[in-house]
Amino acid sequence: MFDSLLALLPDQSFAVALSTFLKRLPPALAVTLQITAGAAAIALVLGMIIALGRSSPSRLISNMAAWAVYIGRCIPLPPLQLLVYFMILSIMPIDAVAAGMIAVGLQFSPYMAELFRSGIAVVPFGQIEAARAMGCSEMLVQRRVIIPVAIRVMLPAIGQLVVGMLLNSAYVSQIGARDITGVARNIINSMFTTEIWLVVALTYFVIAFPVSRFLSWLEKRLALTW
Amino acid sequence: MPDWLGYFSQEIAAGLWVALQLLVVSSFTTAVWALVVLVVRISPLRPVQLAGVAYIEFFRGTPLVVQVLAIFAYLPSIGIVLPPFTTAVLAVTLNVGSYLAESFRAGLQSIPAGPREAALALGMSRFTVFRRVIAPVSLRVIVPAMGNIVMQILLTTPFVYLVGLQEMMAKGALIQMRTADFSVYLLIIAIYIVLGLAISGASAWVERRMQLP
Repeated sequence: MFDSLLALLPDQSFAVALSTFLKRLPPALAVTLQITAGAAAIALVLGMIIALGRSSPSRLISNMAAWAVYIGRCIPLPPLQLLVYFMILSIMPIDAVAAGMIAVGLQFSPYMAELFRSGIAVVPFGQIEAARAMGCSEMLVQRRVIIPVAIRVMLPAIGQLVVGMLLNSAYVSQIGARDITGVARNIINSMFTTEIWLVVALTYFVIAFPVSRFLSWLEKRLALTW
Repeated sequence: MPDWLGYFSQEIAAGLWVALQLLVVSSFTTAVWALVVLVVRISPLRPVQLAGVAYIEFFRGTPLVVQVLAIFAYLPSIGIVLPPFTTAVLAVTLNVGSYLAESFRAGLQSIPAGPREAALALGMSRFTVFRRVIAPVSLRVIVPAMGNIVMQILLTTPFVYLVGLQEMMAKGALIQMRTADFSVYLLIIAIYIVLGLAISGASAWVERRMQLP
């Protein structure tokens, strides 16, 4: 059905390119989502470690974690991506998708760390003290007082970062991943149909925009009103 | 130990110079463009306003890599041939401008209406209100936002070698091809860290200076 619709397009080279792109889109979308999910997992873990480091009572550890954030926020993705890829490749074989996850995850972990820190900071200290005064263990304070409040503040912001990772995953095509952008680049290089770029952009947009809108709504919904 | 000094003096320094030019030029163009978009975005005319929203959301909702490659491929196909530097400035401006316009808008919204109304009630002209009440407060909102934006532009610039601009990433790829030494990217990262810390240090200093007593 769709192919017969495409046959009606006045520009047939565009129609051919478009149908090729749409055929290759499902696996490519899976690769993009895979990179995003892997990167998100890495950034969450690393971000948590850095945030815990920053709140450490040891001056040395908290300073080191703070500098990791300052320095990490200055590192752009392209050189980091290529460094990670070729460095691991010199030791052991790795595919572009795994290298992409690591690079994008590393790049976003300082932002994640800052999010965790600000999320914990919104819990008023009085509430923590009150819980302790009533004899709650540290574990219980974390579980019942800090995390329920912190998660409300952090969840939408974490989601926005994940959308950012989705958009940044497009660069992984540079080292040969067959994600949405990678597939599109192959098609455009072989068929010279630049209009496909608009279709590619729209593909990302229909994922990123609704998610980001939903997260803004969620943020307002979960906002604390004390 | 790789020959970083050699890499730097042979190629990376020239790439750094191009990257710095791009950073300075596109910081200005982005600021101006974002103000234009802001005016469009807060226009009282609904269709104009929607055009602003569409632009902002589209550029914030699509990957920078796709935008850069699309601009690079599309312009020549409609007969517009620009030098790589101009294409790069265009790509960075369009991308970062969409973020900056939103942060300008958030800044404007954060200014309470009370002082403005009070000034109008005292009989100040609209221009005086703008100069004496709105601008001083807005500046304190906008200047820190600009610091973040220069930082964002810095992180955006290494993508534009995709349009053929001979900045550090392009030079790094050349060196890697010649010597098979990927540690050149570590050198590039080190340069970006120095630039980034300098920018965030400078913007923190400006912010401190501008703080209301």
